[in-house]
Amino acid sequence: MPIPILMPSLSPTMTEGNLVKWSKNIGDNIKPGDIIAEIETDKATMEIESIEEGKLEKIIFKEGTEGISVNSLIAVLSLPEDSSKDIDNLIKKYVPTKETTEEVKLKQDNLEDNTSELINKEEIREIVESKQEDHVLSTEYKENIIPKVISNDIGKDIPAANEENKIFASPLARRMAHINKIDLADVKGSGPKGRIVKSDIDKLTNNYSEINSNINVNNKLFKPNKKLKISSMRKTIAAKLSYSKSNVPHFYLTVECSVEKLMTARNDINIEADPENKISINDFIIKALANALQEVPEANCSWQNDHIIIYGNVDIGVAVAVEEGLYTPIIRNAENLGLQEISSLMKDYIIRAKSNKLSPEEYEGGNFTLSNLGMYGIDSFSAIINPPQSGIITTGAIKKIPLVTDKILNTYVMKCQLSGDHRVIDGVVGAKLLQSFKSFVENPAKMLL
Amino acid sequence: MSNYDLIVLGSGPGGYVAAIRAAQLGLKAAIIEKETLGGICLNWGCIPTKALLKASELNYTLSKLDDFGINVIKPKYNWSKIVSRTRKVASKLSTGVGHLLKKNKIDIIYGMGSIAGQGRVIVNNSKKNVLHESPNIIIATGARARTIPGIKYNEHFWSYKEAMISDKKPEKLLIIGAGAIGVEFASFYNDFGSDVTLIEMQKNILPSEDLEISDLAKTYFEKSGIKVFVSTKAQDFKSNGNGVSCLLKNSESIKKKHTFNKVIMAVGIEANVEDIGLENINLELDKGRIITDSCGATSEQGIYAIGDVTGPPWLAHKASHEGIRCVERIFDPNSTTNHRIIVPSCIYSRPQIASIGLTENGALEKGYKTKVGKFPLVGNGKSIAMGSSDGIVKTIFNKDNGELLGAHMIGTEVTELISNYSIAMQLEATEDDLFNVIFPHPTVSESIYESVLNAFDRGLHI
Repeated sequence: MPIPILMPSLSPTMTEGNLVKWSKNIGDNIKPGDIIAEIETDKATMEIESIEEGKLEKIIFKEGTEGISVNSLIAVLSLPEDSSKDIDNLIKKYVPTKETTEEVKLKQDNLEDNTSELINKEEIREIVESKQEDHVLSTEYKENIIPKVISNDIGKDIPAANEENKIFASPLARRMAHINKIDLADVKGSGPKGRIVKSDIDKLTNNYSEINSNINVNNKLFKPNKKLKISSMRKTIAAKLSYSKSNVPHFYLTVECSVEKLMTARNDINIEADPENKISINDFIIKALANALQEVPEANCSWQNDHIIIYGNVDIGVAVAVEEGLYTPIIRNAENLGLQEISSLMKDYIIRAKSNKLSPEEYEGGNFTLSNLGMYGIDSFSAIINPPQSGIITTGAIKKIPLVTDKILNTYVMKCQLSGDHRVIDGVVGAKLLQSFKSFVENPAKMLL
Repeated sequence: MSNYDLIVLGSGPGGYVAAIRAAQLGLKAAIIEKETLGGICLNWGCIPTKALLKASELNYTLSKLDDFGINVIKPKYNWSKIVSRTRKVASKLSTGVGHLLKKNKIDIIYGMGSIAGQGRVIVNNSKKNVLHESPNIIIATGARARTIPGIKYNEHFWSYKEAMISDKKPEKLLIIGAGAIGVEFASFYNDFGSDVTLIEMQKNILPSEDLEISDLAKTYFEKSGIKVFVSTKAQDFKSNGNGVSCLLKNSESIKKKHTFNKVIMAVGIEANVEDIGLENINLELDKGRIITDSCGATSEQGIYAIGDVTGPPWLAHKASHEGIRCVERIFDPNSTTNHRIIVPSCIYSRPQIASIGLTENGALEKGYKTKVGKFPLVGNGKSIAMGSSDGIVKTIFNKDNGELLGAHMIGTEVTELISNYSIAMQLEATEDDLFNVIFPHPTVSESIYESVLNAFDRGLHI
């Protein structure tokens, strides 16, 4: 029997994936462990390995296809004994039958020839969907396949104003958004009172209004805007942080830590260490936060709407900037790890994050996040919590300042800020956490205890 | 010297509306006018010509009364009364503008205004110069009729102005240029019985209109007795006691000598950018027009321009709209509301012509796939009852998304119908929305509905 290859679910939040690249061609013999394709999820680009053996018989979605639902058939492996009928049967199992295909084709023809059909909204949608889907399918399969999207989307109406969350948009804007698969909820309206109008959709599809441009617009005074595709990662960041900033009541606490001893300790360790074993300031800070969360366990928690979780372990996410956005790989059980272990984990994470090779289990979850913009000279900053976590600590640049005691001394300080979720952490708990964190940062020897 | 929040140069429909909007927003505004309040539109354009055309339409209607079973003894007209009535209409409206400005506490400063640098305007009145200051200056000085080099307006060569206040109807009249102004005067004089020849250099009359409408207009004008020549130029003018002789040269270079009593030059429009101190500021111009962004901002900080001085389409309603928009942007530089400018155009010839948006060819040139609906007024009950079923309503949709791209119509009173499309286009209606509109019966507006239906092969009365 031929073997179906389905769009894998590479992370708990993944509902669809983009087919970035086929690593094998039709006719190639595949062995278990061979990498057959690269899939982009909402966070990362991942390679998928075959667990079966066989010949790559059919490729269903071309390279570059976006938004393929999890568990959709993406390719078929065949065994020597499989007939072409076996293969067709397998494909039919995953996609609708031929008759339906012909119906759609008929409707498509209607669109070309008999335009009065346009009146029927249902049909427009079906036709539009099927037309858009066409380019997605590799040509040899066009006649056999009905895109799943059709059946899923029938009955799903063009977004209309509902009572709770009204979206004001012109009829044309609604239709264009529907055709271009744009969610009106993501569109900022520029019409009267924020109404979504044609040009707002044009901006997203990079199709500026011609009618508008022929009157009085001085091209010399205006430079054209650029339109960028939104990556899966950027979408995830946008959705997650918008949710957080609008739903999580943030409060902020700032403290200044002396890092004189920490810097001395780091120098002492690094002077003897091989280059690959050198410890960074950030590694100390991760450790300090892990210890602080262990000392103030009530801050190591999460708001879950109907209950609160107090975490047993301390899993710390560390923000790592990459070209398209950022990852927060997780140092799990950080309270049980030594500095050296944290440091080498982080080095590995950073290298793989930069090449989008982190696996979802390495960056999903976590109890608390650390973010450091000190290397950019930022003094201190207020970060947005990554839900369902309860907080994020940020660190700024280390600065030399005069310290007045009996005499004036130069000392190194660093500003740290906590953003806390006030639903689970009150000011005093936050303050205790920050105090504990400060004491570990200022007296790194305590981390040895 | 006085200080204002806004000084507007010119009190035409762009300028006075801008000043009123400024006053509504609480700005202290002044308006500078060198002649008469209301500008060309009120005094020498839109309004008095409509008054003239109403007279010629009535004269034409009288000739048709027999069709309705009414006999009248041959009516007479009093030419000077026709003209003087139009002057009264103009002056009534001009006085009205004065009241509006006063009501809104806008200072009217008569004289020739000239910008003396950023924020400074010098007004010259009877050799006295007065300086006024304002951080915001709107140039709304409008435009004037273009002349052909070597021809001066005189008793034989008329611009629109002379044509509007003639002391008697010319027997033989040549109109050079078949744009909106040319065809309106052609209709006016033709309906009073002048022998009218209308020539156009381009291949079609009303070159900016939809080709189909332009062709129909030519047919209707010719049917009404106007001689229409396209791809034709007039040259070798010779004045004599009774009028002018000239050669009309067509595209095959065949020349024919004609004589006329009067010649109306309607060969286009030039922006009024002279003597307003542009040399004192750093303003970018293109073909003699001031370059602005979509809110009237020029290349000079604090200097704005609206209306005809910024280029075509030369329409009063466009100027007023730009005036409002410009003032709102001055008042709130961060206002982000996105206005879509879709300017309808109306021509008051007989029959009337009205249009908005893209022509059919224009849409195709821009790469749209179109769906075009047409409905001839001969299928419209009201038109037949009124005895005026010449005309057509044409609607152009974007085939891909049902967007209304344009509408074009010719027929009796269609200028009153085009705003249906203005509203639909501004609100971004699609064909589905228009299918749901109920147009009252019996009205000419039903032909809009039919034209929309026809684009989707659903026409009921055709």
